[in-house]
Amino acid sequence: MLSSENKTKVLIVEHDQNDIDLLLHELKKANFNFEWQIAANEKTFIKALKSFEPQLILSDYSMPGFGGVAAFEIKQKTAMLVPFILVSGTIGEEKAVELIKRGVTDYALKDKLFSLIPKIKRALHEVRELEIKNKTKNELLLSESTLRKAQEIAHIGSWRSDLASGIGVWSEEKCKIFGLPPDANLQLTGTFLSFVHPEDMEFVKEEIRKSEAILGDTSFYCRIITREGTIKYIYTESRYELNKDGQPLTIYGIVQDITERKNEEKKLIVRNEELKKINSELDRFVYSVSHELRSPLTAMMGLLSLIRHQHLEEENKELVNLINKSIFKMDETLKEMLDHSRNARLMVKREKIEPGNIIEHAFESNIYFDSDFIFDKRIKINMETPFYSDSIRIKIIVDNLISNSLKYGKKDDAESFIKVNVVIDEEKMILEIEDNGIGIKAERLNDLFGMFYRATIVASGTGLGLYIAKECVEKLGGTIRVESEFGKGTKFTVEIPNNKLIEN
Amino acid sequence: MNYFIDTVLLIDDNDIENIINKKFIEAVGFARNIITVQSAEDALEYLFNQIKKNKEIPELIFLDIRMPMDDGFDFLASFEMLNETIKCKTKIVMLTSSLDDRDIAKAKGNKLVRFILEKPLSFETLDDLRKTLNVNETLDV
Repeated sequence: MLSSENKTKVLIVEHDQNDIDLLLHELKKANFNFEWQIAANEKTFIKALKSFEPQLILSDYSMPGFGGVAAFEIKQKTAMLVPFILVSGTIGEEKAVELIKRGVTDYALKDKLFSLIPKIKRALHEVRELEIKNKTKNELLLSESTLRKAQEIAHIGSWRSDLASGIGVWSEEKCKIFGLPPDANLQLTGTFLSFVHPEDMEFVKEEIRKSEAILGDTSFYCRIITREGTIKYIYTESRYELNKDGQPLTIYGIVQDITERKNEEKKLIVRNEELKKINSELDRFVYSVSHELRSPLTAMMGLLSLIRHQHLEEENKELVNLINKSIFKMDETLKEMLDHSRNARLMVKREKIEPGNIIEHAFESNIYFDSDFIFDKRIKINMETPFYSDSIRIKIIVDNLISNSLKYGKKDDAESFIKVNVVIDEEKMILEIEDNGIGIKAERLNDLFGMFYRATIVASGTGLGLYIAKECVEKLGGTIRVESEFGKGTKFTVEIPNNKLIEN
Repeated sequence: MNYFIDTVLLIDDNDIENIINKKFIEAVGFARNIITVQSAEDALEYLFNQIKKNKEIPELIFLDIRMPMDDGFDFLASFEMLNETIKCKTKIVMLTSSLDDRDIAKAKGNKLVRFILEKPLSFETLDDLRKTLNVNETLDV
């Protein structure tokens, strides 16, 4: 509490100018760095206490109308800590002792002023000590209250058990979590077990036994029944403190109330189950509807096939072919819509993929379209290692690309080919599908994978195929790209990661 | 006409499907007798009657997967109960217009199911079926 010039502020209560001069002389002689004010009556004393904020008061004992005792009592009300030293020529030993008992810091006799300086020094030193002590105490209180608030906010209680005495100290928050009054801090080691939910008891005892065996850090979740009888979920962590010889001295740890989180988790699980149910119902709905829509289509295809088997006039043959094409187109759209909804909703699975089978099946199921198309089918598969991915999506991708090559092949070209090249290694599958069909104009390539985009009016297409293929590729974390020269042919390159390593 | 097998049983709830399949089978002379029923229950009743009368049961059954009431898999479960000497003479072909891979996977996993054909039937698939059955017959001997 020093002023900016480090001068000690001294308030002198004295009416005799001679005495004041003597006092100042004594202080200056001792090189005491100070500034001062004089108060000769009660009024100026009260005013000086407020405005001057003295750090030391030197007061005469007896003045006319205003005495040292009166000054002391006024000071005690507003400036308890400021040292108050009586300077008097008349005070007796007995009176002095009594006043010191009441809180007066010290006293000095006017004829022995040389003793004043050491007394002042001691008084100021004591004040400083007290201030430091108070400051530390306040800091400690603040830190304790911060910790208490932090524990309260986080719902984390702490505890520490002395193993020799078997007595544990629980923090306020831990008491609160367990439904105990906040001052029930002292608990016997092992009281914890009396709170543990009976169904979790065996498990908890086993955890404690394990931690005792290794004297190591332990953490677990369990349920407790609080004193108030409510069930709570807690998470606890503990650690041993060992002495030099490795013997345990104390065990300490934290307890977190996770009931709220647990309840939210439970709600999420229920909600998740509901969503799964809705999803699977939607799934069944899509399959059932597609089945119901496909049945009459396949019936019509069958009937047309029977009609075509009979002898038809050329004109009718043409009409039957057109009906057939329309039905195939509708069937294709239906399949694509189903593929799209499958890709959007189904979880990505991990299965062993046989690309050869998938490619063959894609050729077989799409050849229907134009059974007159003659082409050279060149399939090359190089599998160094098994390939794992999602079979439904791989099928959709391969099917769409091969059906495109079939649809957009040059039907009158005797040299027509469709090349399928598969290379599989630990990392990925590279699938190339190349044809020498009609090709795609350069300016159309950018939009090729867009929804409902059609680059040509040749052949029937819905504009969904490549969009769905790309969506599937992306779901599998792969890439798809296209190179094409109009009139020459098209090459699609697909890369799909090999999910082989996930098993480890 | 030289028939490939004597009797085939067609099980499909959709009567149009039954007519189409019957026509295909007739057109290629696949079987002498073609029995059609519209439910798994009717099919079992037909089989039980045949067995009671000590008559032969069909060598081939074309079975639809999705049917109201008992579906194709329910039929397979009942068929499984039949006496070994009776059921070994019969081969089951599952027909499906279903795009549901789970149905197909389930059918593939059933040891009674010898073939799975996608609807619609065609002259080509019937021809393939005939060839495969022939090969298998030879292998069985």
